Amino acid sequence: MTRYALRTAATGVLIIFGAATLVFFIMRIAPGDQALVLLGPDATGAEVAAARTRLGLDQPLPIQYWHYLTQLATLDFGESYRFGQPAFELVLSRLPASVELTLVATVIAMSGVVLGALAGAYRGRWIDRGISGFALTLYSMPPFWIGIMLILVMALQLRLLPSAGTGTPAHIVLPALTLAAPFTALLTRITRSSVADTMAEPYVQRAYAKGLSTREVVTGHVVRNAATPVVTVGALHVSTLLGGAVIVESVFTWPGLGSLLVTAVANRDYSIVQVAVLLIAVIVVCCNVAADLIAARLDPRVRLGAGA
Amino acid sequence: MSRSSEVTDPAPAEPRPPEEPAPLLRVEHLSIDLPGPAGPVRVVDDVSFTVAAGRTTGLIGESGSGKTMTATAIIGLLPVGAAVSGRMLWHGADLVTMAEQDRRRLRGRGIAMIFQDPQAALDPTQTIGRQVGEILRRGGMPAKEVRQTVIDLLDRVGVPDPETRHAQYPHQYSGGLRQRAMVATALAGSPQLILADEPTTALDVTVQARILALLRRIRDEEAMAMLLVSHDLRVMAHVADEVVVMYAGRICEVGSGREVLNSPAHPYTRALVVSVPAVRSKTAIAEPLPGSPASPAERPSGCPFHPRCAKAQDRCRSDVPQMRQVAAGRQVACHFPEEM
Repeated sequence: MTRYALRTAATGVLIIFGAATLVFFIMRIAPGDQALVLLGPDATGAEVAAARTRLGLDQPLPIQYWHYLTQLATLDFGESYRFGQPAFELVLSRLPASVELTLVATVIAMSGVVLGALAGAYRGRWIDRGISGFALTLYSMPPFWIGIMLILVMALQLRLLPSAGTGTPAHIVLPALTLAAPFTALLTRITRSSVADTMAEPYVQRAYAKGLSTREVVTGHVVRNAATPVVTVGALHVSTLLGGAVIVESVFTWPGLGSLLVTAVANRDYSIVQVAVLLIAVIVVCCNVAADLIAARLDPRVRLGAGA
Repeated sequence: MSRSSEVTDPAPAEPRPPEEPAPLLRVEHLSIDLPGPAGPVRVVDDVSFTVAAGRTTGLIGESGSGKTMTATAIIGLLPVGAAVSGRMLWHGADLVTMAEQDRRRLRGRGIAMIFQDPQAALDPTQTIGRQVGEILRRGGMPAKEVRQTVIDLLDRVGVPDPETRHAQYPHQYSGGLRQRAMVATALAGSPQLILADEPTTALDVTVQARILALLRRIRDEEAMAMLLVSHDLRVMAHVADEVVVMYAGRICEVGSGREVLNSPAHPYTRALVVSVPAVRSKTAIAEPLPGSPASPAERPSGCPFHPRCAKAQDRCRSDVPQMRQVAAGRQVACHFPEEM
């Protein structure tokens, strides 16, 4: 188990380093830079060159990269040139809103596990057809469209819920529902196929031969065996929600990480983009490690390290 | 499930020697239809036999002969859509018409089943002890007592060091030990009948012999009945008191294990016997059975074995042979059986 943890940690560090490097070069390969954004289209060439020197953008890319890495090593993430504040603090201040939205959406999406388990346990029956059809429909609808439809119906027509902003618990309902829709569909589909596969295993037949009812067979033998792929995919999706609920956050003007990232990219605010991407990478790695640990808890073959 | 009311053919004579105990399970005119792409397929056709307490009945046949379907029907785990007709009398109660609730209560406790592949038939996420004791735990036995009973059961089936090994997982067991654990699982409900579906097929030959010895010992100790399903005649010769030979969903021969295997009356049984290589004699080269087993979906007319039978006559192609008695306790479904 210790060796497993060490290996996982080493992989995690590598992934985070890779993400940090990628984001650095992609931001700089993209046309336009901070000096141009800062000075506007009317600036003269001399003014732009001066601004570049001030921001350190005139130096060769490898030197800039080296500076970036040494700063990272000392956990110095730089300042946002637009806000004049440490980029790390700005990003952190947006994190709670994203976490809140993700958690609520995840709880809603858990219904997909129940639906998927039902569909998988009764594969081919009408309940399976209904649930599978519902999941496919949900999966096919783009989140921004769901969001706009929810705003139109729930906020504008029925005036039940606020359409934008934060403040009351009611504010989170529509963005969370929008975010949860594709996630619910994903969990339903994964759970359904995993449960259906497990139901066909000989040990499930054997459990029936012990005189167990379908409910006892499902709770006793199917759930745990079918859980691993659901946990793995679910954890990955949760991590993308935390950092990447960009569209939903924009539609509902939700002050999370995603909307900050979008404006930062548009403004070439390198420091913020770098910190945000780094943070998202850390979150993704952590979620995956958590998924692996849960999978190891669920399956003794993983935990006890044997492949018989 | 529909029951066919017509019983056209005369009930086969069932002579039983006086020392033979009363049957625990009496299967009468059992037929099973499974839904197929081109309409229902009769995979088991008019099968009748009995299983007596303290005896082992062997169901012999190649793949597709319907032997596993017959066992699956007895424990009541046929696939959805299977249509069963005939009767399966368990202590006088018909399993075919029994309510699902009552059948479920019978599973594991009255009738238990041992499956072919012990690797796949054990839940990989649960300890062996938990799986062996599941039926006891569901029955409301206190945890401490379950633990002790499980350890005793594992000890009885020959799992070494059961105090430690009951807490281990299937992947920590060898193939032979897993099959022992499966036997313990079947014994946990104190069943009167154990259905063993190819219990040794997935095992090494040396391990097979030990598992067969275990099954025989347990049958003797517990005086329970066993229905052994296998294609392996050597397994049958080891364990079966009575054998039922099936081909293409029908029974072709019934009799005591020793007699049927020593002097087969049906050409199919004979072909099976000579196709098994005799290990000890150097001269006996196995004669492979020509052709491939008849598919139940395209069962030949008349005697289903006639396309592969060396003795087939015109009559075999047109008339279905009925079961008839050829000697005491011997029945055969053949127009031209071997002389007894």
